[in-house]
Amino acid sequence: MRFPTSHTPISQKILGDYRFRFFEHCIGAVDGTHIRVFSSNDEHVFMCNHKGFLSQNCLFICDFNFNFIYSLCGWDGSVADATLWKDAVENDIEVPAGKYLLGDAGFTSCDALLVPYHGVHYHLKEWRQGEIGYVESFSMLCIDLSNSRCSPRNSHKLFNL
Amino acid sequence: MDIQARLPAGLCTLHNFINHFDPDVFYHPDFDVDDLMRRFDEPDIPTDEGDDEHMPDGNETERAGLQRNAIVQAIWDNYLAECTQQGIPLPT
Repeated sequence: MRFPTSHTPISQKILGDYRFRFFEHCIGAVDGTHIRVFSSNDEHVFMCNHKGFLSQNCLFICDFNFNFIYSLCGWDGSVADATLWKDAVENDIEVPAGKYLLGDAGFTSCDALLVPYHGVHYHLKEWRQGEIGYVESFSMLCIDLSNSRCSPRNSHKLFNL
Repeated sequence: MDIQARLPAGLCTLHNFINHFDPDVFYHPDFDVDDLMRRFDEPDIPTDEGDDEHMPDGNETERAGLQRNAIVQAIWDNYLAECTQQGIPLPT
């Protein structure tokens, strides 16, 4: 796994696709995921996550060629994604200046992270059910405009689609 | 825990290896990613936790907000133009 430097070119998956033209400085996407673990009784209080099962919280960053470029594993399941991100940037990775990663609402907006607006509903469920048509990234760049179920009333709602 | 914590990183490396040398395997009909998601993906519970802790300093928050707003405005302008072009009523 190799994290991009300032010399790493932006993926052709971004630059070569008209739909992603607004994200020309994006180098990947980050998220935390809970992976089930077995732990001693003493550790249960730390390893139990907000979903109610024992896990390690892991932070993964992927590029647009479907490669993992960073992983941070072994954190207690009770710890929030934002804490893992803080650990990563303080100890491991440096997002090149002017570049950013996509994150979800579990992260705080900062130079290195483009996140949705907090408090504005976004439609992961509808994406997965295919109700909004073909969507790959943050915005509705590629939604079917004729779909009346998807008529954002302002720019924030549009972005969070 | 020490060993369990190493497993995900090892699997990431294995994934990258396969993705590099034989990426078509991920598109094979037998590779049912939807089934994998059903079996292993835990339901996501939005936490909005990002607001609560580890706030970057005010300057960075403002700078990041401006960067996001610029992208959002460009997308919004494009959306309105597309609506107009396709004869779809503009949002009110």
